[in-house]
Amino acid sequence: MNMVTGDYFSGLESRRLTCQLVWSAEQIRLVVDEKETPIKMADLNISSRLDRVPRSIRFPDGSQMLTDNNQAIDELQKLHGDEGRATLAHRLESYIPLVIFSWVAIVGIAAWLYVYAVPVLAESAVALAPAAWKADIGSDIFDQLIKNRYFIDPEITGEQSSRIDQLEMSLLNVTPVESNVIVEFMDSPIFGANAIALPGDKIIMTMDLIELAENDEQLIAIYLHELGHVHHHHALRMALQRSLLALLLVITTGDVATGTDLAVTVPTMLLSLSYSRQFEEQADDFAIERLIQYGISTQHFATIMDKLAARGEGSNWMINAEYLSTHPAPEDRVAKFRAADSK
Amino acid sequence: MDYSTEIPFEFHGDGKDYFRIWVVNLFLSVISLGIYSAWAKVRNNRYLYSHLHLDGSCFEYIANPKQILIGRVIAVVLLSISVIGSELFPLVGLWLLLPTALILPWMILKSLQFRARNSVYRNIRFGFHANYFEALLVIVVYPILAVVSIGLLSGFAIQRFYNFVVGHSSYGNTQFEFQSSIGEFYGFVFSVIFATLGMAILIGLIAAGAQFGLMSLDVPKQYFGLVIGAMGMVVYIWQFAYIKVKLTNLMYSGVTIPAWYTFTTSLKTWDLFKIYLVNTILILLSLGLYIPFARIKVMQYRVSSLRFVTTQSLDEFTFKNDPNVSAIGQEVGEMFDFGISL
Repeated sequence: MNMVTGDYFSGLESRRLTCQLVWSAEQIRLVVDEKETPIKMADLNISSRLDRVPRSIRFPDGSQMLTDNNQAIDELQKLHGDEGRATLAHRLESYIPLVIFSWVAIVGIAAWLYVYAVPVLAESAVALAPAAWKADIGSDIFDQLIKNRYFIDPEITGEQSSRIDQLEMSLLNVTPVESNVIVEFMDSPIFGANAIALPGDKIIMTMDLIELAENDEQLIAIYLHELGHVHHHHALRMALQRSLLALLLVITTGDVATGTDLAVTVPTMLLSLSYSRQFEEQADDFAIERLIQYGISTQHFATIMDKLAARGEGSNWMINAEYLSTHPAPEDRVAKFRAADSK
Repeated sequence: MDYSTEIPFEFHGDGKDYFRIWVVNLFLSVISLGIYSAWAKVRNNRYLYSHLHLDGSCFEYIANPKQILIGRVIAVVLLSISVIGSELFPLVGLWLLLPTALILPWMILKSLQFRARNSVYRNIRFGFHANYFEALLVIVVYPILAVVSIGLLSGFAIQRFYNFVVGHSSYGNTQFEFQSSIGEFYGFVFSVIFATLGMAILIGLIAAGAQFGLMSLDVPKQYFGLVIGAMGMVVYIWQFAYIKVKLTNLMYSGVTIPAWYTFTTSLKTWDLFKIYLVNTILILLSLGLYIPFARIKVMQYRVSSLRFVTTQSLDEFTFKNDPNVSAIGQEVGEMFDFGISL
């Protein structure tokens, strides 16, 4: 005869009693208050083994026994025909090589998803998407930007008007024939001197930027950088990658407790910023390649970047650090364009 | 009423043991493409619940993983629609607001019911009895009113929400009541506003000082952002701890079981801040390895300050099970867990 002692709860009230479970290969009996009840194994609902968590045994009448003696319960189940299913998860969780392997694998899989799977998935989704749909998204976003006054229609003086006409011609000269890209010149109270590429082949350049530039070549350099974003469908891919990352995070860390989720959100933010830095680098490479192709000095990009940096002096420095910025550190970018020129 | 006996809650979880369970379950979840995550959640919760003790007995989490899985599938589908929808179609995103506002209360209600019904102490289940309309009011309508009134109704909205969560909870056939007043919640709102203002001034001074200090030290400019970012994170964690502590204290001190029992809690912002800060740094440095240890640390601290105040021992007063709900209830079949924790 084997015996295990535990707490007994009737399920009708919270009073705690003591009980014994007594068993042999043939029979099982529950003893509460010296009252014995025979029980069949099939009627017992025994919780699976989990570390040293007390084992719960539920009886058909809704009452329950809790016992710390996991060993005894394991033996009871073994004796009565359980092949080890009840302790399988526990054995996996206690197997140290698996614990170590799990951790290494999780870090590896996370890195693979982030570095490889998410970008590739986003890229192929964008490649599959119909052009009309992309254009729709682009005009949706453009409408939103206008509605929220991120961009406003500029008041163009006669002098500016001829400058823009001339600029449009210059830009057209460096635009591949098959490209459907549309350039808009807008005022922006928020972005100041800036250029931005939207999904659906639209590029916005601000009037402040045009004012800042000393010549068309500098603007062409910026334009080619934005054209690089358009060429690689960066805006859409970015949106998709961010969505995928957010979804993956919810699925895998679904129940990270309060306080620790803080530590999950900060790395995620840094991660999605690094995606955007990769895109900037790609766009820079595109611009360098095209500038060389059209025989325009890459120095122009460096010059306008310096001017933008000088303008942002004091107000913009907080986002200049590599890890916190959506763009690579400006010094590095400028250096790259300078180096390309000297080749 | 003179409450005399204090029974402390105790938490005996161990970081190393929990780490093993957490990491293996996470691995199994990932290689099963998320399917095992429902079982993983049950095992994680079972570990945490069962190491929480009151008066010599432990709590239990008895959820059925299959119901969690169903809830997760629905939640992931809805989430995909809303995340992808709002990222790709900013205008469609706006149209998703209304269905989201209508579905969210239902999901939160189901989650609260599921969690309560699967929490057991001494073989008596907890319960949550509220209807959809009540959930809609506290989760959508009152918060909107609070925003529309430029925050004037915020104390009211927050109190109503906690009143909803606590006041509809039960243990067996014993209903909880919530006694923290709307006035106390306005006190909370004002203390957060003042603390935030004070913090903003402090950050401004520190940032200015840091910028000056870094410049005079000839630190390259691109590192400024990192330093300021790190300081911003510290401030964010402090504020997080501050709000958490105030709200938790306000919530638990308001929970009573009429005429017999109440709770006290004495969390301190500074203590919780230190725990969060160390946790965050260690999680970042350890590539997430420290998450389970961090969870145990937070639990230990929160539980250590929680006490059950009563006039007699728990054995002498008994909570009857709700006769409408058998220990293994039938109505469980129609419930899902959407994993929305509050």
